Amino acid sequence: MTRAMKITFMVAAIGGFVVGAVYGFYSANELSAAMESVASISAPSVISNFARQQFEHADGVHARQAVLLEISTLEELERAAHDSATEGQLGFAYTRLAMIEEGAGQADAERQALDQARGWLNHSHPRQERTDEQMKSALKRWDSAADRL
Amino acid sequence: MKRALPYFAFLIFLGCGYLGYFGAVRIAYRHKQSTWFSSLEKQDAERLRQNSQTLLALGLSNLLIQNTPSALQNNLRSLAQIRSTARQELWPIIDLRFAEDYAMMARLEQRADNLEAAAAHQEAAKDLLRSLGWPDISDKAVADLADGQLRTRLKQ
Repeated sequence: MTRAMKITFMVAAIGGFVVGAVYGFYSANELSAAMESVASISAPSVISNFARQQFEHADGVHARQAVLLEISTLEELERAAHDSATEGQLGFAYTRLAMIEEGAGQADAERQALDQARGWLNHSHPRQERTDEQMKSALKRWDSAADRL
Repeated sequence: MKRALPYFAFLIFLGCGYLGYFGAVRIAYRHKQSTWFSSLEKQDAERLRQNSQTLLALGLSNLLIQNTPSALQNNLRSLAQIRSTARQELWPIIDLRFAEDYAMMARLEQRADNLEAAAAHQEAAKDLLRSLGWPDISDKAVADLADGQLRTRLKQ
């Protein structure tokens, strides 16, 4: 192999590697941004579905644990990226917590949860005023629609 | 040899481009992934990153299941893998998925007249549901859970 050939192959190798790496870097950036969005959408959906099932079927202690896990995850997602959909989900999650507290006879905890629910729902839909009963019946309608899916 | 030189050089260019591309994707993706949710404090961001990846994997594991016991068995293996890397606070979510898959397998085995396998899967589902605080773990409750899942989750 002549020196010219060695240089040609070396240049081809380095050039190919650099072009591939630059293209790969941009692809990874796009892929990461897309996956972060997908994860931000998928996480609330999976965790809210779990909380709904536990609310429907489990005892009060386990249902409360599931809803508190949902709330902490949604609040972290909300802090990471403000989103009115997450605010609405938080409104429903706190309403669910209020209904669990109501079932356990914890009137103070129920009141606090309903206030939190109203706060989040007012963030996501500021023009609507809601009573406690309206929030609870909206959640029941939401759950029965999810059951039919 | 001289005539073939451009072709060899082009092949080397493509091969090294391929290596560079996949190397960069792996390294850059891992780096970018470690910056997800970076507007949060470090610990919170790390927790949310781990949890969102687990929940994403759970969501994806749900997409391609087919209505055969072997497909569900494969899904159980993938759930076990997800559970082994998940934070403990998410284990109940994965356990409910396990219970749903066992309930569906019991239903499918029942339809195929494999009553022994059906009973074993049903017991596994009941154990998990009991640990999740479900007061009603009667045969009917497990069958209802299975039917609901078979109706909504599985690809025919």
